[in-house]
Amino acid sequence: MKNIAKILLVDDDKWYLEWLSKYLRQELGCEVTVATNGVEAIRFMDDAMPDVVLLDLFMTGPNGIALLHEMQSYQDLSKIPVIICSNEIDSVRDMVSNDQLRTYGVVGLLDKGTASLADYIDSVTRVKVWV
Amino acid sequence: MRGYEESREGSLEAIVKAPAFLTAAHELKSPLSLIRQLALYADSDSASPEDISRTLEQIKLTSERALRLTTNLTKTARLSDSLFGLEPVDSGVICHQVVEEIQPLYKARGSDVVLAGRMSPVLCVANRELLKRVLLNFADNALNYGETKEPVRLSVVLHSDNHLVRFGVRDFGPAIPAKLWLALKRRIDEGLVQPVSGRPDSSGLGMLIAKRFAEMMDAQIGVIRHRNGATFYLDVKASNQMALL
Repeated sequence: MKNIAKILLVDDDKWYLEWLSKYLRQELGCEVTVATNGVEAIRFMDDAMPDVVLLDLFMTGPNGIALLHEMQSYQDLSKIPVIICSNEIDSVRDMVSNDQLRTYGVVGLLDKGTASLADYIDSVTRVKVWV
Repeated sequence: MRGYEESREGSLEAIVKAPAFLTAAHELKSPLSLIRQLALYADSDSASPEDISRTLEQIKLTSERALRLTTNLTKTARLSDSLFGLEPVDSGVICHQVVEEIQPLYKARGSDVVLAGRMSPVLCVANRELLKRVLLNFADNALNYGETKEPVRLSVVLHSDNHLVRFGVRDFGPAIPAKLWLALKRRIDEGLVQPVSGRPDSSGLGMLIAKRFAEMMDAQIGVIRHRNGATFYLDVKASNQMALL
């Protein structure tokens, strides 16, 4: 097992990406890449496989659900753990069960409206990557 | 009294169950959530003085954006002829004011909004405040959905034999896909909003507000699809006052 070295953040809010990527880089010493939509995210994953993806489900354009489907259709991408970060965690729980989320590689849910900075660090550091 | 209370509860229940209510709640939650996160980051040991300065600016601009939305929602709920009188309005002056107000947000996001060409002193019959809010709404929308470095352009032209003044907000990016285009047209024509979990791109709340404001001015909103973006427009009656001078 190894610790997280590469994180991919996927969210359509550039200012959210800006502060979170800086914070994770400073606190964890990881390489952090950002994508503002699913198409950019897949393009990045083709070049450099992240160890974990932090994903907003409800984005403009191709949304996070489409990205989860896309990742599952590739054997290598389907193994990447995903942490969903959303302002609408209640809506996510209404839409899909925990078992269904696990089939999409989802290992955690973070409520953007209530999560502390430490919650982001804890969620990422709890993910261990099998080598 | 009981009948009044029962009818009041029934009205409240109808309001909170309306899709637009949920949509408005979500549209307000996003900027408030971001403000909270930015504040947490600015307060952390990880933020440098430059980070803090930039973060404070982002908090200010995000809160202004959220306040614009809440004010628009309040005005939409209180629309009546007596509150929003119509008068001759200089189109160019309004456009300048819109650009001045929203440009800091554009610049902070690494974009720009400009006036397209010289603004002639074209008068239209409108409510100054509602007109400005519709254009700010369109400009806010363009900032979020335009995808290139090309500045968003605000324009004013006379058309329909000089009977109408068309305010246009042109953004640049990929063409809107046909399916989304039809959904957007439907939202504008029917004033629909959709629940958060089902939205392919946005809730349509902004369009609903713009449509209601336009209707109060006996004006119309619409959208033109281009191969490289879209133009959201507002057609307002031209004023004949200049012709009388």
